[in-house]
Amino acid sequence: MNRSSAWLAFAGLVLCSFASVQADIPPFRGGGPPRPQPRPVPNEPPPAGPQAEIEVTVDQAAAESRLEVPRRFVNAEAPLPNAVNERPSQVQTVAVGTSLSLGIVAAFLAWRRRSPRAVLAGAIVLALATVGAGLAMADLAPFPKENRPIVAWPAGMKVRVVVVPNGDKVRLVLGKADAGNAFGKERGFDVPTAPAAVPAKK
Amino acid sequence: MNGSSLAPPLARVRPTRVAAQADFRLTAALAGFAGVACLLAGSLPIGVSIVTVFLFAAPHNLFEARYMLARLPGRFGPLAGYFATGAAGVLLLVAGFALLPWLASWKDWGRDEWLLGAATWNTALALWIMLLCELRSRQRPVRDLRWVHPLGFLAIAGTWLWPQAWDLALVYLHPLVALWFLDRELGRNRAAWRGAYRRALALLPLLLAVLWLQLWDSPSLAGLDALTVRITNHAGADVLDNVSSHLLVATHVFLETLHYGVWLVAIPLVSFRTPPWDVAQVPLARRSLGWRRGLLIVLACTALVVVLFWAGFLADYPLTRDVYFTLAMVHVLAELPMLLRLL
Repeated sequence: MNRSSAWLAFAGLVLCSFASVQADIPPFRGGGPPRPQPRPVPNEPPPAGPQAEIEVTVDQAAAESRLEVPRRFVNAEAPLPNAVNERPSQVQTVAVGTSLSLGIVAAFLAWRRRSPRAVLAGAIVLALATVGAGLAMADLAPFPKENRPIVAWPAGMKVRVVVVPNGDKVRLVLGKADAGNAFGKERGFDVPTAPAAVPAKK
Repeated sequence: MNGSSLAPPLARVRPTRVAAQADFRLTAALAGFAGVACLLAGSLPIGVSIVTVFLFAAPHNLFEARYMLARLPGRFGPLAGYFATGAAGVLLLVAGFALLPWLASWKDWGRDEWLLGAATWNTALALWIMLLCELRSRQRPVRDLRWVHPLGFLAIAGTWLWPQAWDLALVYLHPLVALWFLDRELGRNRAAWRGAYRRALALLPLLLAVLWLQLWDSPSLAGLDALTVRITNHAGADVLDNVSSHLLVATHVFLETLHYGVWLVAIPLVSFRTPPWDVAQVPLARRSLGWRRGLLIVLACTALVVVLFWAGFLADYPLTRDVYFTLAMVHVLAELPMLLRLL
């Protein structure tokens, strides 16, 4: 890759990153007439969903408690237990950010050496990093909403919510420890243990 | 015009025509092999997978070990650091790869911990490759491979976002590395065959396209037995749940069949000048009688492992398959330093 190609790649990068970063900013209109805006969608309440029965059982073998919600009671797009979690953890975010930063530094060093393949590799990394950063910022809310718990669990109790593909009941499966502490007899719950909890259907 | 005046042009033309015919026959043979492999893999993916892994998986490691021993220099000299880094990386990464499932079971890992472990292993692999590229760039013949570094960091970022996709890429890219080895070996030992090979290689995307067009909407493979689930998951059916498992397994089996064909037939044909058990001409064996005996012991042990794998496949196929694909990581990784040295 000669010098002019390198400059061309650089110009392409600038254009690419500009388009991505500017994606959510309304364009400058000058003195012209305002452009027609799309009609806002009314914020209607969601349709009433099916009513769910809740079944509480104790699984002596379970390491932790879990709330099993059949998929039909939640958003149909909700991930199943074995589905890929789209939201990266904090460790992932730090690792990705560090790697991309090192990639950009390595790309700069490669550009300093001006090896043709190195320049190409550097351009690829820079392009993906800038496009990725622009896209990542596009839908970021300026002030995150307060994450209020939907269900108030007893202190110290951890319940994993899993969406199961089938079923017509929401099942709270308590681990041995949680059954004793949270929903024990002192709280008035008479919790049957699995599998006796599931009554045989006649 | 007498006969002698025609002789020189005919002498020039005839070998060219003969060479072209031989070239065409070689291309046709290679393309035919790839076509049959593609047809079988697409028609009977599970059956072909079981048979090819049983017959060829373990022996191809033996041939690969023999090839690598022959390619090692007799005396490492300034390359000692490079090969030590390569060997240490292979051992540590394979140990980590084998320990991950055990650790997950012991610590009762959930999905997030699994992904963290996989991403960490993938990062170590990428850093090891980058280190090898750096070391290789300082050796003769000079090949500046430092352009790999930015891409390596990009790959690390990718593995932390999608660890499973990275693992899957390894599964599908590994068979293709054998084709690269063969190309290098042809350039080194049979330059006349290289053109025919590359023409046949150009058909590979076409065959893959045909396979995908045929199977993209085919129903996923039936069967929930342990073996079928292992084979489909190995091909990525548990990650790409929107893609037909028939398509995934067929693609993987097709590439694996080519991979086995390269290591068991093509590389010995092109590179081995003596039978595999004859190590007299191997540079390392020429160092001393002790080295020669050592190489023979290594090859004999590898051959014994091949026999043990065959016995294991007959006794408990799914379990042996798991063990094999864990140990096979040794040859997957060992190919990298060897390939970088060939460049």
